[in-house]
Amino acid sequence: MSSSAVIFSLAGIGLCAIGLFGFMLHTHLIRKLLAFNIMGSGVFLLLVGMAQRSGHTDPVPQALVLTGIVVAVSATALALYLIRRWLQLSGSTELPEDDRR
Amino acid sequence: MSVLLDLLLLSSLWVFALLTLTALPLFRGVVFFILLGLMLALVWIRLDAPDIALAEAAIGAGITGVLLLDTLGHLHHRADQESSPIRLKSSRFWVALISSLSLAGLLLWALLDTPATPTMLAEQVARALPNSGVDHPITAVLLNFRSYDTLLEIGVLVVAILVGLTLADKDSAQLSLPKLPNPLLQACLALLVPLMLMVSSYLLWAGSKQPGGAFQAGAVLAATGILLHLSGFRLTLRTSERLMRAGLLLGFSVFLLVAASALIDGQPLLTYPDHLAGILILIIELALTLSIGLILLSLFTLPHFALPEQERPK
Repeated sequence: MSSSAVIFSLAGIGLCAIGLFGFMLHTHLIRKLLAFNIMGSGVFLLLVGMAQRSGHTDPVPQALVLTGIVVAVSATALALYLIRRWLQLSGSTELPEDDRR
Repeated sequence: MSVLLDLLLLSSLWVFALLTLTALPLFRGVVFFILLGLMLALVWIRLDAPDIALAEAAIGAGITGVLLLDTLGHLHHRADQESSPIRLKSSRFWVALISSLSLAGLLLWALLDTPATPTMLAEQVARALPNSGVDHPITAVLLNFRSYDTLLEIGVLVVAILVGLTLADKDSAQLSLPKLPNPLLQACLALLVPLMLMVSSYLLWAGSKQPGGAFQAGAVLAATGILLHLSGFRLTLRTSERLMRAGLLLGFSVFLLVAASALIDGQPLLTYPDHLAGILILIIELALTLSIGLILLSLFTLPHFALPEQERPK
């Protein structure tokens, strides 16, 4: 057992939980996006951490995470474009569904 | 000792994540998010994943941070930044808390529940490595064993740009960033830009044997472009559109061409002949680096070159 891998798997679980919490709690779209990204980082940590529990480095999940980081940045950029456009069209940084609470 | 270090990193990750979501104003939240990315880069080093550490620092913290800050500046001009503070007693809060705690519980359960027969992917990779054309296992996985993922990944980047192009607001005046005529900045640039270009090409070249590769090199290239853009060295609208098109086309088409050339030989898509694998991977990586650099740069500059329709070059 590698203690680092277990500790950072735990850290990943924490980030996933914090991310989901923020994603559901906040109504501001950029906060939601930040929370979503935190959740993504948690998933990456969990993926590599759990694969390396035996103490060996595993290149396959590491390569997957590398791909994931690039996809995450393009998704973030896409979301930011959508948020800007939404702001321009509606003048709001929240979705109408979020007003019913 | 190292356990203490790990625990310190773990707590800093959690604290920065919480601060990202709670700090007011939003700007502070974004700064904590960038800090979180940098801490994550350290964590990746502790996890023996220097490739991811490089990518996280350059892309996860760097480029994402720049994009977020840029949008924040845009918001500042137009709307209130934060309209709803957190309400502790709303039902929303409790639903969010319960769901996140149950998610944590589920994941913990998954962590404790070790599979009976562990799959040893690392050994399979090590066995196939001599035939892959490169010496670094992660590059081998990315560009040989699972190159399909990488092909689709560059496709995702292309799609993001295309959607960004469709959504670019042609009605509003161009939101141009002010130039900074600062002599000290110019002097620093003269030193920094060659260094960044050198780091980028080194990362690309190193990728075949050691940590590094197309993504990290491309990200550093994009960062150089963004730095130049922010300090006032602008390309004309026409040139940046052309560069963006070249970036969109180059990586994806070269990769696709190499992938499809195996079909002529009667092989399945994306198989490289053993003796050519190394050079083919190098060609793909070179194209990918330029392409990723240009695309990431365009992701940043795209909102800035939306001109009114009549001024658009035909």
